[in-house]
Amino acid sequence: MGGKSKGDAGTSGGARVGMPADFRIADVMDMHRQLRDALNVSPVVLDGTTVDRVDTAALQLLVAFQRDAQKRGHQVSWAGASAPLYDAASQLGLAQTLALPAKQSA
Amino acid sequence: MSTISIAQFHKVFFEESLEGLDAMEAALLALDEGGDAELVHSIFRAAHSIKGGAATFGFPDMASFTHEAESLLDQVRDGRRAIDKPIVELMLRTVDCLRGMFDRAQAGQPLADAGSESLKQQLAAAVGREIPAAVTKAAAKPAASSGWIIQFRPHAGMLAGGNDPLRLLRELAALGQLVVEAQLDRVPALDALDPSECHLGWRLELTGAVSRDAIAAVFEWVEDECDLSIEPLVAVAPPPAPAVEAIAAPAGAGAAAGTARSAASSNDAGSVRVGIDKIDSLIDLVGELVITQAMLDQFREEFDLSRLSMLQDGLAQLARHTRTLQESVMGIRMLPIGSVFNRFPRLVRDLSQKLGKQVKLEMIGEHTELDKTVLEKIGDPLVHLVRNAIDHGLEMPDKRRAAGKSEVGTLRLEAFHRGGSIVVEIVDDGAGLNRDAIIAKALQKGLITSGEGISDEDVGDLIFQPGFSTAAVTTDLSGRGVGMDVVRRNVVDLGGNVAIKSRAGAGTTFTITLPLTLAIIDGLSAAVGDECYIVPLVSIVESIQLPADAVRSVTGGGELFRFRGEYLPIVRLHQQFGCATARQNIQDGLVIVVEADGNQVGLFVDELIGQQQAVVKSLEANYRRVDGISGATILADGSVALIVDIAGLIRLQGRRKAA
Repeated sequence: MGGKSKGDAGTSGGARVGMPADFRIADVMDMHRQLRDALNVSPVVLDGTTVDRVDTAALQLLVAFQRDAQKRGHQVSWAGASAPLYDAASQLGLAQTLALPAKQSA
Repeated sequence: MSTISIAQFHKVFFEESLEGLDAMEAALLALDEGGDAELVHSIFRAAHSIKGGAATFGFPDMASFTHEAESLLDQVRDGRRAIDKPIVELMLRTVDCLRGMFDRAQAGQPLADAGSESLKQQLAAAVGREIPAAVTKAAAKPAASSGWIIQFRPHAGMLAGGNDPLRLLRELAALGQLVVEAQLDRVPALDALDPSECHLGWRLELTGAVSRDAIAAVFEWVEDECDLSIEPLVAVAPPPAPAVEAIAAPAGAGAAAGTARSAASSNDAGSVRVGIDKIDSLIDLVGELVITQAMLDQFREEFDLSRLSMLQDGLAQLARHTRTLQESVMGIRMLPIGSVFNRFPRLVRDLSQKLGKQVKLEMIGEHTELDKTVLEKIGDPLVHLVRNAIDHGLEMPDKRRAAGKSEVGTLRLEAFHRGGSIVVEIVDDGAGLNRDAIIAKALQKGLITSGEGISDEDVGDLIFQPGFSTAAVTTDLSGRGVGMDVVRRNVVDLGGNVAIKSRAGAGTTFTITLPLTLAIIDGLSAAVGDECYIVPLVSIVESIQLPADAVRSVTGGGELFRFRGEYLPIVRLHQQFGCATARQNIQDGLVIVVEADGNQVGLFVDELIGQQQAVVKSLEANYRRVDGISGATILADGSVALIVDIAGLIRLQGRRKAA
C-alpha cells in the first residue's frame, strides 16, 4: 500500500528501521525482510513515529524480532512510537514485550 | 548439576505453619473478646508466612487460598474494614480449612476440595464486597467480584481471513475492565515466521457485570478460527450475600477437621521440638558424667583401701548423675499439656454458640508437662469430656437463673502433678449427674437389676459402661452411642484411670490420672517359680490368700473363686507361662485380683516380692511378641522380668473359655 519504508544500514555497524504509516498484514512482508536483515547488526533503532494504522500481524512481527534480537544479545531501542502503535500494542498486552517508549502525543 | 529436593523442607514448613495456624486461632479468639491492633498484625503475619511458604514449596492451591484470606486481613489491618464477628468467624473457618489442607498435603492428596473452594469464594466475596464501598469510582460498576477468564488462541489462518484479534480485544475492553496477558510461547523465530499467520494467544480477565453471551457475541465470527474458552472468574455458586449465613454451620466442620488432624498425626513417626535449655542441661550432665568417670578411672591404675571413701563418693556421684540424666532424657519427651488445652477455647466457643449456652472456660496448669505419646492420645478423650460437660453438664441460661446460679456456666480444666502422676480435672458447675435417669437407663439396658441402694459412686461408674447414653435427644455433639466407655478405655490404655464425682445441682468433676511417662511403670513384682513377673499397679484391685476350699472347678477345666459377691476366674501364671517349679496349691500362694476393660480375674502367683518402678523394654523389638506379656524390664540383679499385659491375659482367658 501507500507507506514506503525507509531502511538504511547504519554506517557504524548499526541499523535504523523505520515503519510505514500503514503497517498492516498486507505490508508486513517488506518489514519482515528488513527486520531479518536487522537481526544481523547491533544496535538497532526502531522508528515507529509515523505509524498510523497497525494490526496484530505487524505487532507479532515486532515481537518476534525483539525476542530474537535479545537472544543474540543485540541492542534494540526505539526512536519513538506513535499513539496508534502504542495503543494497539497495549491492547494486545505486548507493549512491555516490545519495550515501547512511553506514549507520545500524536 | 546437583538438584536439591525441596521436599525435604516440607516437614519444617508444615510444622511451622501449623504453629502459625494455632497462633492465628488464638489471636482470633482473643479478638473475638475485643483485642487490639497488634493481634490483627500477628494474624496477618501468620497468614502471610503460610502464603509465602505455600508458594515456595509448590502448593499453589494453598497459596491462592491464603492469598484471599490475606487480602481480607489486609483490609482490616489498613482500617478499611472493622473486625466484626462475621469476619472472625470466616477467618476461624479459614484456619480450619488450612489445617485440612496441611493434612492433605502431608498425605499427598490434592489440597483443594469443595469446602476450600467455597470458602475461598466467600473470602473473595468478602474482600470484593467491601471495595465498592471504599472506592466510590468502582461502585459505578456493579458486582465487581464477578468476571470471566477467557482463553483465546487464534488459529494460524485467522489474520489472513481478515479477522484481527486487536479488534476483538478492543470490543471486549468496551464491555468491562480487561486485563490482557499475551502468550508468546508459540511465536516462531523471525526467520521461520510467516508474518501473515497468527501464533499469538491471550489469556484475558474481564471483570464487570458482563454476561457470557455478550462475550460469546464478540467471538461469534471467529468461532471456527480460534480455540476459545470462557470461564467464570468467580464461581457463580455463592452470591456475595452469604458471608453471615454461611457461618452458621462451622462447629461440625471444625470437629471433622479435628478428627482428620489426629488421624494424620497418628500415622506419622513424629518429632519433638526441644527447648535449647533442656539440651544445655543434658550437655552439662554428660560433662559431669565424664568427669566422674575420669575420677573413677584413677582407681583402675592403683587402688588401696585408704582411698575407699573416695571410691564410694565417686560411685554415689555416678548414681546421682545417672538418675538426673535419666530424668532429663525423659524430660525431652515431655511437652506442656497446654498444647492440648489450646484447642479448647475454640471448641467451647463454637459449642456454646451452637447450643445457646454461656460458658466461661478456665484453664489452669497449662505448663504441666506430659509424655508426648500420652499427650497425643489424651486429646480426644479430653475433647469428649469437655463436649459432654457443655452438652449435658451445663444448663441453659434460664435454667441456671432459676436454680439461683449465674447464667454463665464455668468449665474448668486443670492439670497438676500428684505423686508420680499427672492429674487432669474437668470441672463444671452444671446440674450434676441425673441419678434417676442413669439408674432408669441402666435398668433398661440390663446393666443393673435393681435401683435400690446404689451408691453415688456406682451411679457414676455406670456411665462408663459401653453403649450408655442418657441424652434424651441424640445431638450431633455427643450421645452418639460412642461414649464414656471409649474415654475410659483410652485413658486405661495409657496406664491411667478416670474417676467421676458429682453433686446434684452443683456440678460434675471428672478426674483423669495419667502416668508421667509410658516408659516407666509402677509395678508389683511377683515370684512364680524361679521367675519374676511385674504386674502393673494400676490394674491391681487387691491381693488375697485363698483357702483351698474357696476355689471351685468348673467343667472345661477352669477355676473360679468368690470375690465380693462375684465369681472370678483364676489364671495360674505358672501354667500360662510354663514355669515348672512354681507352687501348685492355691493355699500356698497368693491371688492378685486384677482388672482391665471392666473384667476382673485372679492371678495366682507364689508370692509378692515388692513394689517397684520398671523401665519398660520392648519384648517385640528384642525377641518377639508374646501373648499376655506387654514388655520386659531388667531387675536390679541384672535378670529379666516380664511385665504382664493384664488386658491381653484376660482376652486370652476369654478365648480359652469360648473354645
